[in-house]
Amino acid sequence: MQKRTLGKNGLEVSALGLGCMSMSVGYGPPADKGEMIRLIRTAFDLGVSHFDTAEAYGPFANEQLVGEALEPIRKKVVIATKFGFNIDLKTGMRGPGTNSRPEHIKAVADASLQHLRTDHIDLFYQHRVDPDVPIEDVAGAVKELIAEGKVRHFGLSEAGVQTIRRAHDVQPIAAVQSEYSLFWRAPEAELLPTLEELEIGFVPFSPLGAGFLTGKIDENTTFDPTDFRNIVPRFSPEARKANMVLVELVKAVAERKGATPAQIALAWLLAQKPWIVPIPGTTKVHRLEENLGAVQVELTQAELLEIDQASSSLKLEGARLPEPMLKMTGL
Amino acid sequence: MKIEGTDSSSNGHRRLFVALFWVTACIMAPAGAQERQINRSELAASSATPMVIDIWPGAAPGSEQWKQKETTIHMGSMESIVNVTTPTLTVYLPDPARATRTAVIIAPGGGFLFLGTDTHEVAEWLAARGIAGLVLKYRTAQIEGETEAQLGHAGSARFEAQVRNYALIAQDGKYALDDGVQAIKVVRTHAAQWGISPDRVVFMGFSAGGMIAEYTAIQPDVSARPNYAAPIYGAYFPAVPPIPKDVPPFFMELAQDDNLAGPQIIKFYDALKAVGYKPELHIYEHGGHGWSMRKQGTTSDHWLDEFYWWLEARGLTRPS
Repeated sequence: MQKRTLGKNGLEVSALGLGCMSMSVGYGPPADKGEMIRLIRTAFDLGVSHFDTAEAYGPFANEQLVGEALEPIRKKVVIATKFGFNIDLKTGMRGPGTNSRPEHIKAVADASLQHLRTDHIDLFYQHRVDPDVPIEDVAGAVKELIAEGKVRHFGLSEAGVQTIRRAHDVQPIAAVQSEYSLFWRAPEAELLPTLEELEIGFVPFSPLGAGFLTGKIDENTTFDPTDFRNIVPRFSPEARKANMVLVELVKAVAERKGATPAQIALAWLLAQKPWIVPIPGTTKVHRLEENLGAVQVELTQAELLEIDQASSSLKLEGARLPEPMLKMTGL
Repeated sequence: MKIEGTDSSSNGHRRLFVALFWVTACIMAPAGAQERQINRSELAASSATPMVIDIWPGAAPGSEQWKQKETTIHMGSMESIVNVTTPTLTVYLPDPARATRTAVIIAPGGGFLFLGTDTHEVAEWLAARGIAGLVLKYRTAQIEGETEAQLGHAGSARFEAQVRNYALIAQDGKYALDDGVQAIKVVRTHAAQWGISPDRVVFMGFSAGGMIAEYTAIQPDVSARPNYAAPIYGAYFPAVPPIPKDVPPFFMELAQDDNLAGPQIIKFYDALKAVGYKPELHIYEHGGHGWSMRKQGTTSDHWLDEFYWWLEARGLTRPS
């Protein structure tokens, strides 16, 4: 698969990565571990070199899964993980809010190395900005981890542009990870221009709109009780019904191109900037293959313009996250 | 009171409502939690067809004006009931030849919004061991929606709000607590008819149902308290009330990775302990919240056996 580079310090990754969260949390009960290990290794065999996890997914369970799956091929892959929630490292108990105090970041790094069965983290993101800790202190802590060799590159997730600039001054940022897709285009206003200026890579999560852009979800779909889409306003049955126009648009383009809606959604993201690296997640091999097929889909300028215009004119309904989660973004 | 036969079939997919833990940015599901089919051979056939009875004569007090329609919804593999307006007991009586005269009222969990249907398996399990199992369908907070998708989404949204504001849990559980006390009265009223000893009434509840168990054990009407209380990962929200005299023995279980209810359960235990009671509390290393009959490969998988042994140590697994 083609490679792309995140940030000025040359973190090279496959054009599409693999988001691993859904294998453990968020979209229903955890998937079978053995099957997920096989899925991760299949992704590698198909050219994926960038695997995304976080301390908070489980907590710990997803890092442990990713660590086990990648152990035999560790030198050939890039592992991205995240710190910053208020999680007790001994018990896994989740306290309120965030915790990016420098000493906690370092303890999380050590724990993550252990869970991931590795001696270094390629990309270490702050998962959410901690309003109680100056971002300079956070960047400083990661800088020290980089000096110690435990971490290679620094990232931020769902951070506001001022925070990104301040952090970047202390320790250059390789990548920012936030939600971006045809279902959520807000990053285009301020975030993407800032990243371009600072030469920071962008890793869109939920590049398939948490599954909505695949065309497999409609207003009658029900989700497992542990599926976070149950509490997302954008996924209320009413919003799904209203937002179906977007799916119809993507489907129409897909049909003309002989591709699937998911492939169009991913190809559209890849076409936005050469430093954008989406990380679609899945628990199914056939979906993985489908997603990776997107790198073969070339959208023409005319098609991009068509999608852009049609999607910009849509008024989509429902917030992308529940209120308390939304409050933790853009800080 | 209306009495009717009901279908006792269990589709094996029933499981207690596993609460939504997506509080801030990720959920706190137990590591390695797996779906599992219930091993039916564990359940010897219960001799009687379960009966369903209304627990209140006429409309349940306080909710006479409720208009929502009780609906069974499916979210993934979970089946649950929402908008319960008419509380009932489903009665699983054991084979009289092996009846112990012990009865366990079983209140499912689900944040007073959803009632998991898999607690019927617990009742069958107990009935196979000579213990009457009585599944309480209590009133749940009324949610808006026509389709399963709408009801699932509305209930989940309310649940998420509860997790952020415990006061809402008490509000949503108001009528469920009354139903818990009423269920005990009904069981004692029918004790002779059902071959139950009125001083062998255990109240078991899961999660929100555990809060009902706790409430029934400490509410002021001493004669309507259960003889034993067994909240399973059940916490009292928003805060533990003062513990009175004459509280029945407690059997409690939780997993230490239960981020949702764990800390609050321990507060309840501490409150009992502080005034001289000796609640039995089992804390499993792993298990999360809402395991019910799901097997997860953790020590918490044996929770029901441990409950049974506790009954056994009190002589409740043998005829009185």
